Amino acid sequence: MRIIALVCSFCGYASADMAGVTGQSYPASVVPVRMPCTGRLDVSHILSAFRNGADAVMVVGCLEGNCNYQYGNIEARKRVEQARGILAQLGIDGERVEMFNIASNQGWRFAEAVKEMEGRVLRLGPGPVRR
Amino acid sequence: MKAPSPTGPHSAIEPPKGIALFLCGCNGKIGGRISLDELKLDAMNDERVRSIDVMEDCCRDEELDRMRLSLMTGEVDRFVVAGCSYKTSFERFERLAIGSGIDPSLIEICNLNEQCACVHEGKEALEKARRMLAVSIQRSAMLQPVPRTKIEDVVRTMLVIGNGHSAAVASMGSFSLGHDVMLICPGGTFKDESHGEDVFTLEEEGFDRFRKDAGGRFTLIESSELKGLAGGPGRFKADIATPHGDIQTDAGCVIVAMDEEEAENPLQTRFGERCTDQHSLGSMLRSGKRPKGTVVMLAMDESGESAFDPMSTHEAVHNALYLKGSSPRSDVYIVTKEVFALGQCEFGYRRAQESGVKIVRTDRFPDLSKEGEMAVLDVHLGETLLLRYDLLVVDNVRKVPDMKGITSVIGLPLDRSGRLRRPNAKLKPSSSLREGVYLCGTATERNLGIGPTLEAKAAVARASASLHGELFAEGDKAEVWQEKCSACLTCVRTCPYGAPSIEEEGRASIDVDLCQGCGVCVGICPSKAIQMCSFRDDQIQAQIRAALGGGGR
Repeated sequence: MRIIALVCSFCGYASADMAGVTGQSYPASVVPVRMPCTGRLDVSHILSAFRNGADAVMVVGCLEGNCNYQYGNIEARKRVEQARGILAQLGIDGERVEMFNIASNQGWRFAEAVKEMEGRVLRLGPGPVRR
Repeated sequence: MKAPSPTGPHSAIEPPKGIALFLCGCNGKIGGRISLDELKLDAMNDERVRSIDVMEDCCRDEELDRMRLSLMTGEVDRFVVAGCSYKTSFERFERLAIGSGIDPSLIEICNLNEQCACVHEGKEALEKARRMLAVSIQRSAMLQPVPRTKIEDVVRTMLVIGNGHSAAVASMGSFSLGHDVMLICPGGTFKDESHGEDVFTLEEEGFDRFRKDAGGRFTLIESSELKGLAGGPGRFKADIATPHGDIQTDAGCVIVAMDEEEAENPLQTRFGERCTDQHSLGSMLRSGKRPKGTVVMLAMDESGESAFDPMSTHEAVHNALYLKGSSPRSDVYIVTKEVFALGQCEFGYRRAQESGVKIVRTDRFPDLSKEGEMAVLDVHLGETLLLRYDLLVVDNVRKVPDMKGITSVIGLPLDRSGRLRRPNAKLKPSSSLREGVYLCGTATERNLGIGPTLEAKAAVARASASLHGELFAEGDKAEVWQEKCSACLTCVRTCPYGAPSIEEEGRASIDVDLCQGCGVCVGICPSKAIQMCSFRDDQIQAQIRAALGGGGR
């Protein structure tokens, strides 16, 4: 299974760190890719992840209202919705991509988010390219 | 497609000279769980990687020396460290890079500790580490130097904009830290009217004495206005309109210390002579006079809501304590819905209760129809109390000054009530949305809850600290590829900092001094005309491909 986590450099990355430091366990299928802020997200990043064989994509930003750059995470949520629209036209379930808002001290929530995405992939089957 | 500029995010990426890879065992934390030799074998098959070192612990000084030797062979121009979080280790490796003659923007850190070895074990851990390392090597290979220039002559003058106590404290604080200070007061004459909020914590400060001591190193310009602010930290250029003509001045940092202005409490006109406000009572007490008889403080507004602002109960508690301390036999009541005790005021609140100040909690405005008598429902007793008073003290009322001029010039937004908006108060206390501009004063949104004096001192401390060490202009900022821009205004509308604007030629351009490198415009640009050096689309997509096991290129 292959899950891509697009994390912001602030809470997203730090919550993944915190999950490790506090000894949470989560599936090893996730690989984080760091961005300056989730606002940097482009719909094409999500689409190219699926094209290259991802089973699911998770975008992890700061809590809403807590973004280091004001509202990058809110922009990211819009783009995730936009990507879902495009995926639906391609016949790919929109649940394969999800936006998470996690604070830097909520390592357990990062772990839960990865588990949640893995659960979805188990339910929906492998990603569009690997089917 | 042709590259428009020799350096910058739109130019063709030069192939890397060579990557140095350091695999840190992190004292067994990584080495004990992931086979670094396996990772080394993987990396040896990649022709871009020129040197691979397996380290015991990169945090040790002797290991850093070993890394420096590998970096100074001349075969590599960038390096990847597979170790712990970039948040903890980046600065250390940045110093290493500068010391070894490597551009610090060409460092990549692969977090194999917290994000891999801490969580996973066995084959799973190795598999994930392989993929993470592939992502990092891919990213490193595609990094390009970020243009940045060191500012040689950092201006250390502080420009304070304010109208009251906070501005006075900020000026004095900056001076005591060795800065020249220029204080511009937007409206009329400058008054330092401390409302006695911080008497629990701080000694009285003498602004007049400070002005004498500072001599020529402090300039106060009254009735003046900021007309323009260009540049960034360490090299601001401010245009100021003064009554004596326009001047231009250099500044290192700007501290916006706007306080609320005094206004009249509508209750005061209703009760006439027997009524005063906290501020007048405070100055009366300080001048040594004592009110006769029973004093009742009404710390609420006409709708029975707790107070005009949290500071009101603070002032009531302070004055009551002062009064009780100097004449213990006087009767003092505070009628309020809730006491807000900010910071050190908590001690004052307790002392006020211990010394016999009676605090009546009610949920509605009391009946004041009879002169000299108040009927108030005590919600805890469930009874109506009759309080006879000789002096009724109402809250100070303050209004937010008009700051539209400041906001449009500096680019700081206002909230709905006309206060200056703060960015995240926990992550960036005292900062504003613009780099190098710091905020304090009561006309700012969401006070930090430490009182205006401490807030002003905090802003000074942060501003002063930001001018220490080396300052750089430019950096990893967004840049518009002019030929691709269709001037759709999307970036102008989306940017949180107002950095993009449409130039005369009808193309967007981004002010590097205002840009903070979040990349929101990069992601949203419909023409894909905006890019950032270290987070270009092709880079991120190649990283995603590498993470999924595909060839990066």
